[in-house]
Amino acid sequence: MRVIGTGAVFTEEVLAVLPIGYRFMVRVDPLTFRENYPDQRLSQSIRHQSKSYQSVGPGKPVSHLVMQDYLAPSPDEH
Amino acid sequence: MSTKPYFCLYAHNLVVRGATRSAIYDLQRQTIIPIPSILHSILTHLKQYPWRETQRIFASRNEALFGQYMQFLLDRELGFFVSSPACFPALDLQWHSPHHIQNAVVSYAFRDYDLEDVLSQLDALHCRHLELQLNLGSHCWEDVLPFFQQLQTTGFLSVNVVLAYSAAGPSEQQLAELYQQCGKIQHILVHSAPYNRVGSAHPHNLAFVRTDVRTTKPRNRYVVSSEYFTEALRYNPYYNRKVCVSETGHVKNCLLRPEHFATVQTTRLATVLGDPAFQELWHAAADHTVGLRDSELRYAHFSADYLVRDTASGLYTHVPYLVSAQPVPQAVAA
Repeated sequence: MRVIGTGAVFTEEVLAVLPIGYRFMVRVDPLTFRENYPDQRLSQSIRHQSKSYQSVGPGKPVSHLVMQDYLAPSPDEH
Repeated sequence: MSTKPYFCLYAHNLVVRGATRSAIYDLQRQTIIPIPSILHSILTHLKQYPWRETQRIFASRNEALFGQYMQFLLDRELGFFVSSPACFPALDLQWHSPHHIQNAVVSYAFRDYDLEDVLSQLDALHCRHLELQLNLGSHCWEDVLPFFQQLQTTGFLSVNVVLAYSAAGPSEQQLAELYQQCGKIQHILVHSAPYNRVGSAHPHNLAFVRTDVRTTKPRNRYVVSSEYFTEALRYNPYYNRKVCVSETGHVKNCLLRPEHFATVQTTRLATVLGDPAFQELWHAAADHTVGLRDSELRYAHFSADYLVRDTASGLYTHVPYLVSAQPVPQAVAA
């Protein structure tokens, strides 16, 4: 999660009428806020009655083929 | 060392003993730390006794060495000193899955059987991950798209597409469009292509390779995770809850194996799954495999090896692999 700015998000006039916690709010890059699932691929599932059905890769190879052998390494890999 | 009387490994750090040495599986960081077997004995003793008692038994003449072992564990954040070890219970190592089928590999050449029906059956079995091996032959790419539209509404978590290259096949742009439109697709691999390269638009998800990967001899790998570890304790992670359908419709444990159990043209997949003979390899756990059961890495070992069960001992052994993409049909097992 990347914090863009640590300064106050609101003006002093607005902060004067808001609870004190609002003075410590920061701006976050939404693309790095994982709870927004920015890099998540979504599809559908009739059984789950969902149109935002997350696509999740397997934790082990599905067959004897390991896709990572042939693809460019993902940015998360190191 | 510490005033606290006991020493515990963190619950996600599990010690496994091998024939010649041991290892600590760090399931949280997904790494394995090799250790000498004497440290395995020490850690086993530490589970029940205070560390001073363990030091007296194992290192009464060399306290410095015992201290080094403890410091080794502390430096790598594998364990901690504690006053009441009962407050830190062990990890539950049970493996459960509500999915009748976890993984499925379907090879389809646009003949011999109805792919739409097979996909529906797999969806009904709550299959999670699908690898679809397609051979277009004389068919055009537009004949394939209805299957991906069907996949879009199924319960699969991911789909890998392995496509045999053909001059009349889809272009890279068409494959990239398919990847963008179908959210379930994780990877697309085009084999037997005239070049080796990754996709320009999706280099992490699309690739072209020259070799026919279906006949590539599988390599052994290691997977370190809590889910894999608990599954490997009792099952063979490669074969467990997997079903494969060949181009001719034969239902198998693995496409690389020649034997099959039924054909999708005549038998429902759910019926085949209920066959104990089909499930036999599911239970070929590492502890029952000759050669592997002595390895400290057996619960991380991922292998597509050809296994044969010795009926006398009940153990499984590796045999030289039969590399054949088009096996000879055999009599269906009763």
